[in-house]
Amino acid sequence: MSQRSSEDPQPDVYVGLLFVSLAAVITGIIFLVIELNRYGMLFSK
Amino acid sequence: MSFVGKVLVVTQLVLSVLFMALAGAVFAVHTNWKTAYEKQDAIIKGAQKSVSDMQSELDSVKQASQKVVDDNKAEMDLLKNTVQTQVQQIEALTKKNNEDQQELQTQTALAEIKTKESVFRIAEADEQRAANRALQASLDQTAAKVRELEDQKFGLEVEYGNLRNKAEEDQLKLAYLEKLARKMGLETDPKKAAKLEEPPPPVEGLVKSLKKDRANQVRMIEISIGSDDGLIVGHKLDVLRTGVNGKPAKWLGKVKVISIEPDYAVCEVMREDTPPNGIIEVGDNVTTKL
Repeated sequence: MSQRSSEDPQPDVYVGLLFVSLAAVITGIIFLVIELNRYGMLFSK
Repeated sequence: MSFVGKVLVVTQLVLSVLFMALAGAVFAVHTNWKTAYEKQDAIIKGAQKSVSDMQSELDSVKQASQKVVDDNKAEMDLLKNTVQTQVQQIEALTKKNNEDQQELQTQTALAEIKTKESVFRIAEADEQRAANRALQASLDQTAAKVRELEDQKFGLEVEYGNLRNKAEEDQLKLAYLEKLARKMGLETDPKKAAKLEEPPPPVEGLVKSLKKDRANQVRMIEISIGSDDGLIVGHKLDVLRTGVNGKPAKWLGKVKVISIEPDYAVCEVMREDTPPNGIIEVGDNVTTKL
């Protein structure tokens, strides 16, 4: 384990996929926040 | 990286993409229920306000209608009273009408009677006209007679005037003759003259008073009998004394009535028929029986 961190692995395609998935999650969260903002940030009435 | 790590990464990627897609879909196509709610709420409030306005208008209309109903009720009561009054008036008028009908019948009967009477009166008037014509003819005849009588009256009046003038002349002559007769001492009244020719009635009286002349002889005496006893001026009476009071009975002479009243008379002593010793005194008797 300490060997790996010392080696500083090279990012592969899966790391890129993880960033892509992170970006997708953030985008989805933004969409949901905007939608929730339409109702005044109220979750229930 | 292990296989499982790779699978998990891919799965992570797929799920993330799905999550992003779902969130984008929700953001893109999802209906804004809040706006819809607010629109519907505004519509509902507008409808409620309209309902409230309608309700208030309905209340005002109800009040107006109630007022109209009350007014109509009052007017209806008034009309009922009016109708009742008019019904009473109609009853009174009906009663009066009946009375008038009876009066009319009575008056009609009276008028019929009067008509019959007028017919009778007309017939009577015709009869009276005929009688009037007869009376007019009689009146004409009478007027002619009256004219004749007036002519006769005029003639008689002329004759009366002549006779009156003659009578006035005769009266002047008579006055002259009476004056002449009085101067000659004759009686001018025919009745008195006729009575003088008759003997005096048999009466008796008393000497009431005496009047003597300067020679102390009895000139006039007043006696207690007058014209009521039948004496008139010119009658002659005897004076005598009956001797009742102790004095001797004696004939004292004659007296002549010169003035007479109903209950006494004044006589003048006739000296030529008086004895020298015949002194008349109050209380002596006078009589025409000797």
